[in-house]
Order: sequence, then structure tokens, then C-alpha cells
Amino acid sequence: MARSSLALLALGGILYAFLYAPLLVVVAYSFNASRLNAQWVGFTLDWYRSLFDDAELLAAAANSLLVATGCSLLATVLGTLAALALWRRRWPLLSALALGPIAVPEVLLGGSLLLAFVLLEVTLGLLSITLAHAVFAIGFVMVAVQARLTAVDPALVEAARDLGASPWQAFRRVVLPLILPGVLAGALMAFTLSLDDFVVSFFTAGAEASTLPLKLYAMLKTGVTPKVNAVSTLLLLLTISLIILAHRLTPEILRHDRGDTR
Amino acid sequence: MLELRGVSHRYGNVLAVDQVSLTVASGEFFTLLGPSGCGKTTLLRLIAGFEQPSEGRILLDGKDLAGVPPERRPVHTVFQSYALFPHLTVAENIAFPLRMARLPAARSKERVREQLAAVRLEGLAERYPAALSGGQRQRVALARALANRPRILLLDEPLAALDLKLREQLQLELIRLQRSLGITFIYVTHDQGEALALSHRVGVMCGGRLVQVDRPAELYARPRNRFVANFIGRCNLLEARVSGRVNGHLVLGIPGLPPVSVPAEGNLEVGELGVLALRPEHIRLQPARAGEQELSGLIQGHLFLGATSLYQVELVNGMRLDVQVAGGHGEVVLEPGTPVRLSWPLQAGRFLRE
Repeated sequence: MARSSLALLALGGILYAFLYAPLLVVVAYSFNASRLNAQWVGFTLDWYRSLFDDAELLAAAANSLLVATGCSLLATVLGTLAALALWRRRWPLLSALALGPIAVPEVLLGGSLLLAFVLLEVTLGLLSITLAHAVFAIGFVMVAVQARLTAVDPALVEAARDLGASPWQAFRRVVLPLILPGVLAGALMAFTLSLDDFVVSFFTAGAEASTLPLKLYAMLKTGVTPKVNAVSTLLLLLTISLIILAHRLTPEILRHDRGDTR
Repeated sequence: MLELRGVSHRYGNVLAVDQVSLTVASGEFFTLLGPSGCGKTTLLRLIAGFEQPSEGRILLDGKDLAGVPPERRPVHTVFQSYALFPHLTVAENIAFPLRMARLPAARSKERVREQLAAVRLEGLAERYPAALSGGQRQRVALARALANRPRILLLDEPLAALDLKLREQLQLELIRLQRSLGITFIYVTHDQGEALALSHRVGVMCGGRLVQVDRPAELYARPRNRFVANFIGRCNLLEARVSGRVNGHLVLGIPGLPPVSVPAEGNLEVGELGVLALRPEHIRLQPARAGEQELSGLIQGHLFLGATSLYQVELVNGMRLDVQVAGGHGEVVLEPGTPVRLSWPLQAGRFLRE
């Protein structure tokens, strides 16, 4: 018993090391005083300081935040509406279709979106990246909201209407508070996905606009500098915080919704 | 006053409500009684405004409710699942309709306090529904539906999920509330005992149709057809045929039995087919006295029910009758196989058309 659980623990350790060791190396070298990623010389924050002197990098970061915010808003509204529309209706095909862009290889999605934007004469730039990110983020929001909706008794909507609420008030006062954790989790997921995305951005950014992952890729072409490590570390930190936040929202914020939501 | 005129409702090809016409007076406790699938809940949803009738009209105080959405009808519902808002406290649940009606906060607060007192839940205002018992939830649902003083309160099997003791207690509270507020209650149930105990009048439904509307005592004493007789209380039904009229009574022929007389009602023709309806408690296990009807048979079995006993008797033609007798102390139980004579006052029997 003790031996097998020890073995399990060791295996788990190896697995996590496999997942996180490369990231830890990046983080560690971002504090390395050497210009080369070869040997540890000493601790420094110079690379972080230099980030804030790089106007292009700062512009890319601002773009990323703008795109992620736009994508998150758009995907949250549309994904929530999709979940509500499919609530209580047995249309599995429509549900599956909304999830399609997640399953399609990103290269294909990026390529086809580029074609679509060109055909529709949408100028490539921040707007096209935002729209493209929303395409795959909608499905994630929809799933997060659907998970909450399954626990909501449809009779609650009728009860609200019966007691004098208009359809909008019934949504605003009853349904929305009950699905809010799902909506927020979906919004954070959409934000994170957009922030991290490289492939779809690569296809739909055009010549002018650049997001942080695109800029990072450009920097990498000239070699992995500690500066790249510093940017990566900050991006990693932000992403992980958002994921933790989304995860904490998904369990019951509302502890009082068992029993009646049949 | 609520008026239904020739109301029908179809779900696809299924006719859930079939030509129902009905008038419910203000302040009346009216019950729709019927087995599941008889259309009673659909009728309730039509009155609440969740469904629109395929045919016919629904009028409240003479005003046609067609096209009026649920939120604009002075009709509130107590749902079978209670449908309490899980994210709101008891007080917030009760205040919901008041808030929707834009009642000033001070008056709303006062009304919530009144409602909590009316259903005896004063101490639970800040609880969430999940922390309440079934009976408490039921009371919150009732307090919430009555908070904004609707003209009509609809109740959809509100006690079905509760145990017997609690059900009886809440029945008494329902009567008390209804009488003190004077609000029209329309109550849906499949429990005939509940219907008889609570209502001023009962409408029995079957297959989407309203079969009989009467006061509880009338319904029990004079069921209009076989379905009602069978559904309300226990009733013996023997296939019979009208064979003649004697002294203003109907004489019924039942194959293998001597002729039986029942009071003549309505315009029944000789030769008509139907059933002889006899309540078990109207039959005695004794020879007939003057003016009584008599049959004979053999005891088949005995059920002790506490205050009463039920005997099953096989008649000479093989048909079976239930006979209910008061079960006093020291009563001798008749063994199976004992020959007995059954008698009942002529007025107790009824002939019901198929």
C-alpha cells in the first residue's frame, strides 16, 4: 500500500516536472544577468526594466489586452445567448456546430478566416483579430454557461413572469444571477484564449497590427534573449492568474441553489 | 368572476383541453379534479397565460384575456415544484412580485412582514430556500403568490410532494387563508379527498373535458356518470339495463339477479345500458326492511380499516360488491363462505348511463 502510493507520488512528480520544468527554466533565465541562456551568472531585474523601454513591445502588449477585452465581451454576449437559445431545446446539432471552431485545426481556422476577411473586404488589423478570436471563444463561453443552465429549473422563469416580471426582468432578476458564475468563467476563458493565441492571430493580423505572442515570435527569430524570457514570464503570470480566477468562479458562488433547482 | 367559454387547447395533434365552459365566482375555492393527463394543468396554464387557447375565450370580470401576457394578468400561481428563486432569501422571494409592481419600499417591507406572519414563518425571513423543509417551502411559495393580492390564485398540486400529516395541516391553513383574504382560488389536484375537503365547488375532468361541476356533497351523492362515481370515493358499479318503470321508479335488469329498483332521474328510456352505482357504506349486511332493495351472496373476504371494515361479497351471478360496515368492538367477523343478504334504501342506488 505505502509503496504503491509512493510510486504514484513519484510518477505524479515526474509528470508535473515534464509539464512545468521548461516553463521554470524560462522564468529562471529571465532573472539571469547573463545575455546567454547557457549559464547562471547572477540575479538581475534588468531584462524586465528593458521591456518598458521597448515601445514596440509595449504597443503589442496594449494591442493584446485590447483584442482580448473585445473578444471576451463579444464571445460572452454571443456565447451566453447561444446557451440560452439552446436551453431546453433538443437541438444537439446546433450545439455541436457552435463548438466546431474549437475542433477545427487552428491553422485551418486561421486560413479560412483570412480568406473570409479578404472576401468580405474587412481591413486586417485589430478588428479582424478580435472577430477571429471570438469565433473560437464563443464555444467555450457557451459550454460554461450551459453547465450552469442545466441546474436552473425552467419553472423559475415562468414563476417570475407569473409574478409580474417582463421577459427581460425575468432574465435579469432570475436567470442571470443564477448563471453569472458560468458567464464570468466563460468571459475569463475567452480573455485568456485570446491573450495566448498565436496561430489565428498570425493569419488575421495583417501587416500592421501585432499582438504580444506575434511580437514574441518575431523576437525569437533573432534568438532567445533573456528579454523574451521576461515577456514570457509576465504573460505566463497573467494567464495563470486568470485561469485560477476562472476556476474559482466555476464552483458554486451561490451556495443556496440546491434542492429547488430541479 | 372568471369565465371560460368553449375553451380548447391543442398540443400538436393532442387535444389537451376540449370545449371547457366554466364560471368561477369571486372569492370561490374551486377545484379542478382529475387523473394525470386529464388536461387540468393545461387549463391552469391557459388561465395563467402561459398558453393561449386554440379556441374559445377566457374572460376576467368581462374583460377578454386573449393576448395578455402572464405578467399583466392579476393571476398568480403556486407551482407544484414551488419554483422559489434559489438566489433570493425568503423575504426577497416574497418581495419579488411587489418589486415588479413597483410598490414603495416601505409598503413592500410591511407587506412581506404580513405575509410571513400569515404563513407563520416570521423567523425565517433571511433564510435561503435550500435551507427550508418541504412544508416551509410550500408556505413561502404561497406567501409569495399572495403577496401582491392577485384576483385569482392558481394552485397546481401544491401539496403533492408533502407527507400526509403535513398535507392535512396545510389544507386547513389553505382554507383559513382563502376565507380570510377572499381571493378566488383555483386548485388543481388528482386527490379526490383533498378536492372534497377544500372546495366550494369541484369540476371533475376527464380526457380534456369538464365532466361534472358541483358542490362536493352533490358530487358524492349524485355523480353524473360512471367515471365520476368511480373517481369520487369508493363505488360499486354493476352493469345493468333499464327494463321498465314501476311507481315512478326505474327497474333495472342485471343478468342472473332479481330486478333492482332505483329512483328515476332524467329522461331515461327503457332498454338503455349503464351501471347500477351503489356506495359501499350504503349497503347493510341484513335482510331488507320495508321499501328497501335486497340481493344475496357469499362473503369472499374482509379488510379491517380501523373505524370501519370492508367486506367483499360475491353475488349469485358472480359479480362482486364491496360493503362497508362500522367496525365496533366485539363485532363478529363473518368468515369467507358465509351466505349473507345485502340491503340498501332504494334512494341510495343510482342508474348511470355509460
